[in-house]
Parts: sequence; C-alpha cells; structure tokens
Amino acid sequence: MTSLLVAGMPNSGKSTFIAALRHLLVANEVPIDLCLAELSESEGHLNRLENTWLDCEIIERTKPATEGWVELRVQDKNTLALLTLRIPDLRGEAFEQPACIGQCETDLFAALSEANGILLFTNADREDDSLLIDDLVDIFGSDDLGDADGEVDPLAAEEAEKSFNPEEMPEEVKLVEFLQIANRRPLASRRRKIAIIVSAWDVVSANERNEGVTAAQWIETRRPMLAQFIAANADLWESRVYGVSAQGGKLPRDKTALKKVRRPSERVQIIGHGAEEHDLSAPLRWMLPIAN
Amino acid sequence: MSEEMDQVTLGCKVPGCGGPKSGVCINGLSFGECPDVVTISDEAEVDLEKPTVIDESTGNEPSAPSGRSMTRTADGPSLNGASCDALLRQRGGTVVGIVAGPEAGKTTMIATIYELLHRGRLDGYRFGGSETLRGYEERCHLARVASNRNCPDTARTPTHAKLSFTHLRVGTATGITDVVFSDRSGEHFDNVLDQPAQLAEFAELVRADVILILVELDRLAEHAHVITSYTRRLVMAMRQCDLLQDKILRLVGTKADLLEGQDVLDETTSSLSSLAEDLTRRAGGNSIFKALVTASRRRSRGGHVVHGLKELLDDILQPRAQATFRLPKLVPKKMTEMDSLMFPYWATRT
Repeated sequence: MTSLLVAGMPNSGKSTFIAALRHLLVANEVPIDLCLAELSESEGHLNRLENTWLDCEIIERTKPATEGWVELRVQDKNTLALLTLRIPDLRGEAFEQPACIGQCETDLFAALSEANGILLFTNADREDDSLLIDDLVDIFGSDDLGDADGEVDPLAAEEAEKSFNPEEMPEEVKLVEFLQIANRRPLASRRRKIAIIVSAWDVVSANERNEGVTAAQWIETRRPMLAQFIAANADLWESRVYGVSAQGGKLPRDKTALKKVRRPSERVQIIGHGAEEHDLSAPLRWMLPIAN
Repeated sequence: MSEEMDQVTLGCKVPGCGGPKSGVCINGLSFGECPDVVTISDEAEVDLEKPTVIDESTGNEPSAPSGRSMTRTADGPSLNGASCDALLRQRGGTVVGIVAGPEAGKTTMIATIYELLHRGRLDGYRFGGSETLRGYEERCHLARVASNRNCPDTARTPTHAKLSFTHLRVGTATGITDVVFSDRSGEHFDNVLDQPAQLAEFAELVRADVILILVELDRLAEHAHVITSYTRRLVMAMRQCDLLQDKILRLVGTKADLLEGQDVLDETTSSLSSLAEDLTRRAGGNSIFKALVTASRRRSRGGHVVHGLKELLDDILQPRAQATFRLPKLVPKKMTEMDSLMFPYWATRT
C-alpha cells in the first residue's frame, strides 16, 4: 500500500482535486498515466464527491461528518504496476492545528509520518492574508488609512483593533509548520517528495499566464515563505509545483459553460513538469515508486 | 432557553478552542454544526479551563471526549530556556542575547527580521523554517493589516513575562544555520542595574555568541547623557560578570525612522559611534563594540525605509573562530611501566 497525503488549509481545493481525479481514473477518456484497476471496498465517499463534481456543484467544505480515507486501486499504464493509494480527505482545520495549538490529530500525524509523498494545496483565488500595514501605506498613502481628514479617532481605532487569533494566522505559516512536524522529533527526518498544487489556476490573471508565468514562479512570488522553506530544505523535500484547475472554472459563475463540456474530464487543466493537459494523475505518478 | 443562554452553557472539547465562550470555532463551523461543541455543567466548565494532561512517555494526549486523540507537535509559541537548550544541543546554532531597557525596540527588531526574511526581502538570506512560528506571528500581529490598525505597532513584552527565545533557520550561501534570539522584558534590565551582580544569572547572556545592546536613537538624540550613562552601567555590569569575553558585541541604534532630517540622523549616528568607541575603551580593548544603525519601521510613504537589519544579520552570522580547547600535559609523578609506554601517545595527543 502506498500512502499519499493530501494536505492543505480549508477551501484550498483538496476535495475538488480528489473528485476530479476519481472521475479521470474511472472515465479514462483523456490521456492519463494512471487508470483505475478496480473499485475498493468502500467507495461511498468518492461516489458522492464525483457526483457533485459532475453536476458542476461547489463541493462543500469537508466537515467532520464527511471526512474520509479514500482508497484508490490504480494501475500505471506504462509499467502495468498495480498500486493501492490511501489518501485522506480531511477537513482543512485538521492541518491548521499544529500551528494554532501545537497539536495534531494522532491519525493524521501517523499518516504524515508514513506518507510516501505529499500533495500540498494552496488556492490561487484568495487574498493576501499576511499584508503589512506598511505595504498598504505604500499603496494608498498614510493619510488614506485614517478618516476623510486623514485623522484617526483613537477610541474608534482601539475598538476596531483585532487581537491575535491563531486561527487567523497566514496560510503559509500553517503550511510550513505542518511540514516541519514531519521532520521534527519524535519523527525521524527523511527525504520526501512533495507536489505543491496551486489550485484554481484558472483565476491566475490572464496577464501572468500570457507572460508565461509558471506555477513554480507564481509560488516564488505569491507564497515566498513556502517557496523559500522548500528550497532551503532541499535535502528533506524533493519538490515540484503544478498549477491545477480541477473544477475548470469558477462556480456558480461558469456552471452553464462547464455543463456543456462534452467530456467532463476535459474541464480539468494542469500545467507543470510536462503533465498532459488534463492528467491530474501526473503529480501522483511522480511520487509513486514506479515513477522512475 | 434563549440562544444567548445556550452559548453560555456550551463548551468545546478540542484543546485550545475557546468554543462558544470565545465566539470562535477552531473548526470554522457554526456552533450548531460543530460536533466538538457540548453542553457543559459548571463543574465541567472548570475542567475545560485546565490544561490537558499529556502522557510524557508517548507525547500523546488522552483521547478527546469526541474520540479524537491528539499528539503534541510543539512545546509552545516560543522557546523557554530548557527547550532552547535542547534545540541547540540537537542542531547547534548562534545565540543572540539582546540587552535593552523598556520600549527600546527589541521585539520589533526580532519581528521585522522575521518579516523581511520570510518575504524574501533580505538579500543573500532565505527562510529555512522556525520552531517558533506562532511566537513570531503573535509579535508581528499589530503590524499586519489583519489587526485592523492604521499604523503598525508591537505588543510590549510584559514585565512578568519570563525569558523566552524565538528561533529562525536561515539559508545562507554556505548552507543552513540556526539562530535564536532572546526576548526578555526591558524592566528586567532596569531592575538588574540596582544589583548588577544578578546579571550573571541572565542565562541568555552567559550562553550568547552575539550580544546586541539596543539604544533608542530618538532618545539618544534628546537625552544623550541619560542614555549614555545607562548603557555604560549595563556594559560595566556585563564586564564584571564576565559576560563579554569572546563574544561579538554590537551597539545597535534602533528607531532611526523617528529621527527627523538627515542632519539629526548623521549627528545621532556619530554619537552612537562615539559611545561604541567609549565602551570598547572601557572594556580594555579586549571586547570590541561596533555601532550599527537600524530602522524597523517606515513611518510614511517616501519616508525612511527599513534598513540596517541585513547588515545586522551579516554580523550575527559572520563566521566565528572555533573556541580552542587544549588538554593540559599531565605527567604522573611516579611513572609505571604502562605510563612509560603511554607517554609518547600522551605527548602527541596533548
């Protein structure tokens, strides 16, 4: 059994990726490296995810009641090797806890320890959550941060001030802390493969894509902490970065257009490291023992 | 029962989550939806406030009432003396002891180095990790837009706060190195000047590879004599406690951004350099103080930019000569036959 860990904060696109991947493996209607060899004993969670995805509905955030450990029995089309992938589809909050409270659910901690590879998700469609006030001053000017006269009412300012809440720490901090515990005592350090998935790649501005910005370049500028952490610890993390649009567009805005796609697998887009246009299994295959 | 009343009688089973009492669900769910929310009696409410008992042998906490077992993954937001010591024994690293009175800008300086580093704004360095990410985030919070403030600030280190350390793993041209910064309330330094011998008990200064003495430049400009005297007394106390030997010493001028105009900045920089020379002279030439001017904040658009922190990091991470250790050559008074045989070996070893 090969264990892969799908990790990411809430709303980072983990479940949508799993739903789309499941469909690609079953449908086998576009060029893809892996195919589904057989169904596992428990398919309920995957069935629900795939149905929602096929209906072009927004996949609801994973909740405690809808968490599941997904098992995919796949075959590599090139080597014909059979593999069972065990992938947890957990709510994003579980991945926040190491950074927020210094604790991790024991089964997730065990999965992290055993994982042969990690798919780490970050959503391109979210605001900068670590913006500095100084940076805002650069953009708008200090006067614009006060009221119309440029004055700041101290009482109102004090009331508006939000105290530190660990749950609101930036996503990158939570991701880095989660990766750090994989090599922190009591676990022994070892080198792992990590595929960083920039989800909602379709929302990355047309300008950036026209300029040929790769997912790896996007990560370096938009997630500098994570990018530096991975690069500085290259002895522990062998990494690749992919840009993925597992939904194919933004819902509910693009629902009608997505429904019209004749082969649903073609909704999926992935870029990076020579992956075929719709082949979501490319990062998985790279992390598997057969990847050589 | 009203909804308000319901909130009061509800608690959360997840350690670290304030639940309905705090108004924030760690699971990000509504309280009606979250399975970890429970109705609690008054007695149970008291229990929820107590820290969870951790099985030290396994590091595991007992199963949560919801059935979720939790594993401890970090010791706390910052490092205490023991955890810092354990980290240094495991990985080695540079210890930076920071000496400064209240509101001298210690925490702001530490936090800004972290902010610049993880944003890739320190040329030649890159972020390689930290064992105290939450500690840094707490320190940086008031400088972030997320705090809803109009101007950046730093929470003061309270007087009652114990000595703590923050940690950074820094990627350099030659590899990764670990740095820990001490963070101690400024009042501790004010108080210790009344009983200077107690400075020997400041563990971070005993262990430090680098000692930074912080001087507020705006106060140096206005109250030069007071600041100079204060700094001299601190350095005298450190010398008397033998805390200066073989250490990199920097006199760091902070808050350069508060100085109005280039003339004032030049004049104050000159005063700082003179003070550094004075301290070097008073230390008998064995300990060399170098002055460094820094600004950790920008006050307005087009105003002073953050500066001096890269140079500070350069100094902190400069290659240091390894301490030499030589075994004394001891020869037994009455040599046995075995001693005679061993003597040439001892001679080469010592």
